[in-house]
Amino acid sequence: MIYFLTINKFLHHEAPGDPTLLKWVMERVDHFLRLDAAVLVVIFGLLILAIPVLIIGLYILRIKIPSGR
Amino acid sequence: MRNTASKDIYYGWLIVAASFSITVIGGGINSSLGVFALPMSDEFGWSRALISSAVAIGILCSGLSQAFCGYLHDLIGGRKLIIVGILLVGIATILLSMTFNYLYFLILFGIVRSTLMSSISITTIAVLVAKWFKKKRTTAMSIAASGGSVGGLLLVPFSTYLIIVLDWRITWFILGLVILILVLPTAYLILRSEPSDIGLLPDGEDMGDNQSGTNGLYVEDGPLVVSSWKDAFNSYPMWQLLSGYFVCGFTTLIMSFHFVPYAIEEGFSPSTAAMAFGLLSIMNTIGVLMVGPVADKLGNKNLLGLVYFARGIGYILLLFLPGQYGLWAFAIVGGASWIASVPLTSTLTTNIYGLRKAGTLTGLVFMSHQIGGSFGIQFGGIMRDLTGSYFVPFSIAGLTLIIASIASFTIQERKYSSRNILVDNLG
Repeated sequence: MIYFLTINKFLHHEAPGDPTLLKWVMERVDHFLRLDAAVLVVIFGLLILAIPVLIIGLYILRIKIPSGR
Repeated sequence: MRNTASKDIYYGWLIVAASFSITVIGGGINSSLGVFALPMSDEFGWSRALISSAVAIGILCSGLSQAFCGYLHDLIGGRKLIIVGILLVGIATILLSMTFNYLYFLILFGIVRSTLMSSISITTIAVLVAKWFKKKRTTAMSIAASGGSVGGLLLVPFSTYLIIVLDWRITWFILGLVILILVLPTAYLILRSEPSDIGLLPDGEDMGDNQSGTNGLYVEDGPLVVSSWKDAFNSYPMWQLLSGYFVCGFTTLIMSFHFVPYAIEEGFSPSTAAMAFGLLSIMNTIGVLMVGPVADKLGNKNLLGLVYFARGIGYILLLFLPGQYGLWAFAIVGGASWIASVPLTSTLTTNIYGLRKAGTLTGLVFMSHQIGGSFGIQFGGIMRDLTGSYFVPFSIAGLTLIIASIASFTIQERKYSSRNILVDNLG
């Protein structure tokens, strides 16, 4: 899991990461997880999807929208 | 039609959640450029220097456009600016899939997209969030700011594996669609420029409840609350914030761009360097999330001073501790301070100068950060070539942080902070 966190190293104000180190890190991720790239796309895609879906879900569940007051 | 919040959740927290979602995906995609560099370079035969030039121009354009986007925020409100910004950033990201030469990439990524990103950067997000909170302003900003870190964790591997499975062109296209399909509806549905848009006051107080018995209005007042952004430059805190944030940009971007060459020179293995920065990433996420609640209780300026001081100590430890110890010490001490300066600086700016011109002022302060960052990148490279090592540029970076720390500690926050006062509009 530590390898996932390394990709974040340069992220001060969303600056792009160093390509050489990113490549090395992703090789470590591959070695660590031993999953097919397509599976990882789906896993990360679902995680990314989950954030806005949860927020919109929270909005719909918790916020009343009356016709006026 | 007016919306109102139910009793169990303050709508401002939904604003924070939506802002977090924007910084996760917007920031995450920006961080992903590194993984596009190799396949794009392979296809077009670009050198790493060419890619770096586009990045450097992007940082400059982002810095210069912050103040303009902040001005637009003050003019038209956060909701409109951010929604239009998301739409245009999504389109620009899709257009990157059609890159056919370096000039196209340079203009689209380096200039157009980087400029557009300012409209959905932490600057505009911070001002939007600030309008919803008074007592828990730094906490709210910290959560929104942490989205950039989380975004890197998710979007960089996602982009990498997508490039492996498909190719870089389809990946840019899909990332653009992610912005348009996921972020845009979230922002459109949830974002509101100000609490008054749905009949609330900051922190969730209801206008009706708080003005019962009076016909008053809450008005922001304080010794330095400005109605023109230029007025802020006549006071010390603005210069203290500008100088501190300049140093912040200088000391973070110099390390961002020169860490790998430094680590190689010092003989660290890639695994050691990556593990150390894994720890730094954990620390910066923890740091930014912890700083908010603490600052809301104890004030912002001392914590900001402490953040810069800690980073300065981190630099000293990196340079003077033997072997790997310096690297680990920097990861822990410097890491905790890495992003923590963002919510503290934004909160101080809005607390002292008020919210009327907060967009422009926050944008100007952030511009100072980016100019410092651009300077730091160049300075690190030039000094390395002149002196033959990174000792001198990193030492100077450490020293500037001590100055930034003093500048922050000496801000008279309590004296200048604005407050909401109830005025009788019949009087």
